[in-house]
Amino acid sequence: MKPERSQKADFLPLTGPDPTDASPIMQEKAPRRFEDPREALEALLQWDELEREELAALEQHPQHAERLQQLRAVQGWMDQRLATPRPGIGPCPSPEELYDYGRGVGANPLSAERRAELELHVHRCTACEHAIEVLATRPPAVVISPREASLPLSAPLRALPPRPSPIEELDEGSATRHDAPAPRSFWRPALSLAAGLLGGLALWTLVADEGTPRLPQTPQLRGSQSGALLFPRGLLLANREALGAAALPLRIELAPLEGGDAMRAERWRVELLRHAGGAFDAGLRVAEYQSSQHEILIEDALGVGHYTARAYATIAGLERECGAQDFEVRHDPQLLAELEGTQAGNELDRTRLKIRLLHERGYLTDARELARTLPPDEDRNRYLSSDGLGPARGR
Amino acid sequence: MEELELVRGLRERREEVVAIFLERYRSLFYHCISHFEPDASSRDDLYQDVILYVLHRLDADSFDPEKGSLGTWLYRVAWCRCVDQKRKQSSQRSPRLTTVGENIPEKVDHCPTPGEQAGEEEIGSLVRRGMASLDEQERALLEMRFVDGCTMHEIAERLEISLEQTKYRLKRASTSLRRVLLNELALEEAG
Repeated sequence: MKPERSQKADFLPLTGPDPTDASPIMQEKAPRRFEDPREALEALLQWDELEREELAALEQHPQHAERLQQLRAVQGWMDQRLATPRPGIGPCPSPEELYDYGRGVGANPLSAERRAELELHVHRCTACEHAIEVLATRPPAVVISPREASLPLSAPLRALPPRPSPIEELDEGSATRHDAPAPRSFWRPALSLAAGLLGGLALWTLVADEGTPRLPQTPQLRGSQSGALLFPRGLLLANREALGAAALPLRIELAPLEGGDAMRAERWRVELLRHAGGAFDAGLRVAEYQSSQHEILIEDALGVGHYTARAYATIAGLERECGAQDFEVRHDPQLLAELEGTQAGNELDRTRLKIRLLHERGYLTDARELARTLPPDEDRNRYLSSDGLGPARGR
Repeated sequence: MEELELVRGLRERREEVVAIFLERYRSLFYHCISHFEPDASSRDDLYQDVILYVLHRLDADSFDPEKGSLGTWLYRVAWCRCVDQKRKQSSQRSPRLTTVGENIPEKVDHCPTPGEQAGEEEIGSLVRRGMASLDEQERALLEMRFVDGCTMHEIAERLEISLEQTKYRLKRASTSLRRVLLNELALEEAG
C-alpha cells in the first residue's frame, strides 16, 4: 500500500504557529480582527510573520484583503527576482552538496577544494545563499508525544515512592538547650591554633618565593574544551613586538586526536574568519593555513578585530571538522605600558612577570608564546603542558 | 517507539505508526518548510510533498541507522527536497528559449501566459514606483538586492558593513517599501 506520487495524501496540514512555540497561553489568544486602522497597518506591514488565524482574518477583511493580495504579489515578484539564477555564475550545486557546505545537522565533510568552489558560488547566488541561511538555525529537538506514552515502556527506575527523611522529636530538655548558652568546646581552641599555623606556613612560603616570580597556575575547568583546536583563543595583543622577544609568531596549536593511529591526521587545515564579534555573525574567511604538523606558525600580522579559527583534520582521506576557537586581536595601550614598565632583577624574572601579567589579563596565547622563550625548567614545562582550560595534554 | 521499529512500520504503512511519525517529527518538518515557504497555504502543499518524498526514500532503503539518527536523516531529506522544489518552481517561471521546431513540448507548459506576463510587468512597475519614493539609502539597498540580484555577502562587501547589518537594513527597507505601496493603494482607493 505505497502511495502513488500523483495521489493527494491526507496528512494533517501544518496549521497554527510553530509547534515548538506552542503554549497554553498562545493557544488561548484570540486572533485580532483588525478594526483599528493602526493595528491593521502594522499587520499588513508584517503580513508574512502573522499567525495563520490572523492571516485568515486579514484575507477575509472587506477592506484589507485586496491590499494584502497586492503586497503578496509584490513579495512574489521580489522573491522571483532572487530565485532566478544570474547569468555567469554556473549551475547551482546539488542540494546534498549545499547541505554539506552549509554544515547542516549530520553533514558530511567536503574537500577543501570543493568547499572553496561552493563558497564562490554561494557568495554570488541568492537562491543558494538563502538555502544556506536556513541551516544557520538548528532544527528543534524531536518531541515524543503523549500518544506514544501509552506504549509499553521499560520498568521504572525507581520502584518505591520517595521516602521523607525522619523528623526527630525534641524532648523538653533538648528544647530548652537552645536557649541556654552553649558550653565551651575543647576543640575550638585546638582548631584555631591549627588554622593559625597553616596560615603562617602559607605566608612564609609566599615571602620565601618573593625573590623569583613564578608562572601562574592555570585553572582546571573541565568540559569547556572538546575540540582539537587549543590556541589562539581569548585576547591577542595587536602590537606583539612590544612583548620584548623579537618577532613572536602567532602559533595555532592543535591537540592530536584521540583514537590512536587510526585517528592520525594526515593534514590539518585552519580557516580564519573575521567578524564583528556578534553571537550570530558568520564571518568572512580571511585566511587559510595548512600543515601536516599540529602546530602552525603564522608570520602575518592580524588586524585588530574579532576572529574565529576553525580547524579541520584529514583522516584516511576524509576531512572532518575538529573544533573552533574565538579570539580577539586588541590594541591595549595600557597593558603595553605596564609590560614596558615591568621591573625585576634580571631579564628572566622580567619575562616571568610579563607572562603573569598577560595571563591575568586574558592574553593566554601571548603568555604561552612568551613562556616558550624561557629556558626549559619545571615551572615553564608545567605552564606549557597545560592548555589553560583542562588537564594537561602531555605536550 | 524505537526508530527502527518506526521505520519498519512506515515502510509497511501501518496507520498508527504513520500517525506517531507525523506527530513526532512535525516540528522538525515545520522548521524546515517554513523557511522556504512563507505563505501558509503553499506551506501545506510543500509539507504534503515532503512527507510523500520521505516515505518514498524510506521505501528505497536510503536510511542507514549506522550513519545517524532518523531525525538527522529526515531533516536532511526534507531540506534537500525543499531546495529542489523551489528550484523547480523557479525554472518553470523562467524558461529557456528554444528554436521553433527544434523541440516539440510534450508536457504542460508552465511558462507564464501573456496575461500573467502583463500582470508581472504591472507589479514590476508598481515596485519601481514605490522604490522611487524611498530615501536614497533604502532605494540603493533594494536595487542592489532585487534589481542587480546581489547576494547579502556582496551587499555587505559593497557597503562595508556586517552581514547582520545588511539583513537588518534590508528588512527595514522592505518594510518601508510596503508602507509606500500601502499609501499608494489607499490613495487609489480614495480617488
